[in-house]
Amino acid sequence: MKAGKKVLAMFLAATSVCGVFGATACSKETETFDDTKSQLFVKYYNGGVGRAWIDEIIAEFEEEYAEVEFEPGKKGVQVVKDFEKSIINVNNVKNDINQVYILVNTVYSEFVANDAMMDITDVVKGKALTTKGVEEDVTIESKFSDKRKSYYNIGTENAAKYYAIPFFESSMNLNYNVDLFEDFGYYFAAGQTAEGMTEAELHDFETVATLFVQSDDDERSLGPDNRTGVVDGVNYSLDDGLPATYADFQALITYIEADNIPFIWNGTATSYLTCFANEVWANSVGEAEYDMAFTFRGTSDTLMDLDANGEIQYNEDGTVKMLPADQEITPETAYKLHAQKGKYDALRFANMILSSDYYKDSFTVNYLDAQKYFIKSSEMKEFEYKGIAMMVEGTWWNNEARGIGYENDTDRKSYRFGVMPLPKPDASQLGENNTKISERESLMFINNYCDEYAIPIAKEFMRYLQSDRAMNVFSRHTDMLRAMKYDLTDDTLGEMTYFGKNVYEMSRAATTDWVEWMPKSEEAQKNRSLLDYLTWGYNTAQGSNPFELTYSYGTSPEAYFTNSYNYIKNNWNVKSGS
Amino acid sequence: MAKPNVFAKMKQKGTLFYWAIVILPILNYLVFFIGVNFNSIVLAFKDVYILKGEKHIDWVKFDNFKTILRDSQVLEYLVKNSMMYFAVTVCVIIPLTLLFSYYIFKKYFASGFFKVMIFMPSVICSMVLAIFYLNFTNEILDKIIFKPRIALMKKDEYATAVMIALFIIGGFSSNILLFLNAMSQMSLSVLEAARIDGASEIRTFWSVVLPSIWGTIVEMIVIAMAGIATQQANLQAMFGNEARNKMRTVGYHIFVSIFTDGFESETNYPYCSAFGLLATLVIAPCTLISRYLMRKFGPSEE
Repeated sequence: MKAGKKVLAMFLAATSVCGVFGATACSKETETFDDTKSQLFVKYYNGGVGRAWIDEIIAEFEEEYAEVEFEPGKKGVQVVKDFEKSIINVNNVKNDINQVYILVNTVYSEFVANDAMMDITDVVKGKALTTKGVEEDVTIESKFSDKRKSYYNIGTENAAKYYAIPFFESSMNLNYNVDLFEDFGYYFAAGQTAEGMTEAELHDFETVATLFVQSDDDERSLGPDNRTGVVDGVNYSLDDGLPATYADFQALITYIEADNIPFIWNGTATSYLTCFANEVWANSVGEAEYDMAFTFRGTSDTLMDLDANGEIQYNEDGTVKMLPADQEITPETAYKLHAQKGKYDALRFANMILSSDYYKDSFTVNYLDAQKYFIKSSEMKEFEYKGIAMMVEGTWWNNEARGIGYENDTDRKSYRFGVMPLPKPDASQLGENNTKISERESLMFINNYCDEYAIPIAKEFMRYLQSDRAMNVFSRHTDMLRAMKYDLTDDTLGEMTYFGKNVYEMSRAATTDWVEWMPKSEEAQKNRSLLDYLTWGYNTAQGSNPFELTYSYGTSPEAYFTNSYNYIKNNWNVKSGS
Repeated sequence: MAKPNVFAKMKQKGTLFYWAIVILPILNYLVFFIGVNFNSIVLAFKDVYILKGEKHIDWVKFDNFKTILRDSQVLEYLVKNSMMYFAVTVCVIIPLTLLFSYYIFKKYFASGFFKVMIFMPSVICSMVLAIFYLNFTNEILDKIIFKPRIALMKKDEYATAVMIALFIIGGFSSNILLFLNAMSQMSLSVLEAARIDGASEIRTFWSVVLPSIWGTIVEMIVIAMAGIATQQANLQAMFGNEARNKMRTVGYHIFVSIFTDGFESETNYPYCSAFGLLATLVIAPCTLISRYLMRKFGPSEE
């Protein structure tokens, strides 16, 4: 008995010791350093975007630079990978071994202010490397969009100072199952709209069924852009047959619910829903109006005329009362942006999604399961072999679903999904551009405390990552886009899934406007904490997630709007300008 | 003649060993208590912001405190929830733990088994326990018992009950060791005397055991009270940084307030420092007074 206890005690002690060593073991994947080569330590946020693309680039980089001497007595480069799903605190960069960082949710200005990032103006002003020693024709700076150029350039136009390069472009989308839409004919027929229908009619299957195509040959409606075909080189067909207005969207839900499940989203990262609501708001008011949140200045044309209690007022015809155009917005009055009609529209949209049992298992499943169900539910008994039509997820989801939702690459390419251009609140806004928000601050930079020997390697690697070729590798693997100006080659497009191609078309469409979630004026920069994408839009005393709060408390869009407007107005405490 | 150095002097006086022992705790105290708290207090009166890649720090007097107090509705939720978890600790966890400790101390039926089972949650990492519990609520409670699914954790009326249950399960075990240890310090002759005098178990527990371990009970309550403002009540483990305000405690709120866009931002430190300072100003005197009163008017061994 005693011997047994001793054995048990020794076993437990050994387990504890192993556990401690296991927990503190070096996280670098390369355990042995090749002394004949120079090492470059790279930290990469290995999240939904995955690592296949960077593994490929690094392998090529190492191969191409195998004969290059960056240090006396050493030949070639060994990239030491720190690829975990983690970011780094700005204060830890100084003592961190890594030299190049490719991260998400990293606040650029804060890293610059704390001297964590190296000045890489020479890299940005220089040209990208297609392969070793072969430069592209254009500078890396020219691949920045104008908005990103102005944000990343901390200096002036004449004396620019860049410390980082944008990484990927993403938004929180309403993704739709193209196969399901095709199979069940969930496309509006040409000339059909649900505008003008009563609430009862919108919820009646027999009534709304007449709006949809009856066969594959039927011509489809124009969609939110209100045009079709290619006009002046612009393709307006991307949204054909998709719901053009909120009324159409409600009709679509009613139609889908008869045979399938309209929605899914995950219940663990519910912040996605807040981001999606931000997207609906932006799409309703348009780029210029929504962008005022990031400058705290301008004149707004979409403010509602609220009463003294912050409640929405209505005209005799039932439409909401609006203030005259050109309402001035200053930092002191920027809370008024929360009276934009787009915010109310977004709350109505959220309520429409939540107002019935349209969402199977959402709010309880994790994001990987949500993705799997979205892809495979029509093959699963527990879903009664019903398909799920739409899912709220970030652009990275189709890559993240590898191995769980998708069994293999062939499986992945056999499904068709797309990003739905969001409908407009009513017919009066048809034809306005589709406005999307790029809200994850993802970037790449060099550690300001990078070892001397590694600086040329790090800069060479950064240049290597910015070539059109490298960015095509990124897109081919991830079905996403780098947040830079470049084109995808036919080879790349041929390797991408339907979803990836759709993301590319949508992003580059002339009918798509992008709002960058970046404080752009001094006042906005000083008040950055107000612009947290999780709290800016829908903050109330109870919380800031409109979907979750509507679900929990059953609040109406009108009550939520007033509650949020009053809360933000009463707590508006903006720090004044310089 | 060369002066003897400091170490030689101390060796001569025989104080070298003493200083070698105390220097680390003193340094630790100076850096990690005095230094950190001083910095936090000063930060509460400052504003940090970043402009054009440069950090700016301004003195703003009581602005951060005003910001906290202005948001009275959120403050009300935070205080109410923190007090609720404190009440659960004092009224549920400590009494239950006492009873179970006594049961185990008296070596009643299967006490060894209970000892292991009750202590189990404190051996398991709290995050693992929370994940297990979350799956339990989502899969067992929600899927099987509540039909159709109602997403328990997204409805306040259920989520609060679920969180309190987890709080009790998690908090139940760690106190047992302390109470068992306190009970084992009791004089067996007193217990034996009570038994010979014919005292019932309840009477023995109330009149003999409780007064004997009252000091430990007071300390447990004092620790719980001092921790009101830092108590996160497993919210981080269950909700990440996204718990609804109505569910939040002061400790959790301060913790998540350092994040902007999912990233820890230095610009939020002053608000959090002010909140911490405000909480300390309220809780510290309450804790000291309560401790004094409990010691003065609590049961005595005499």
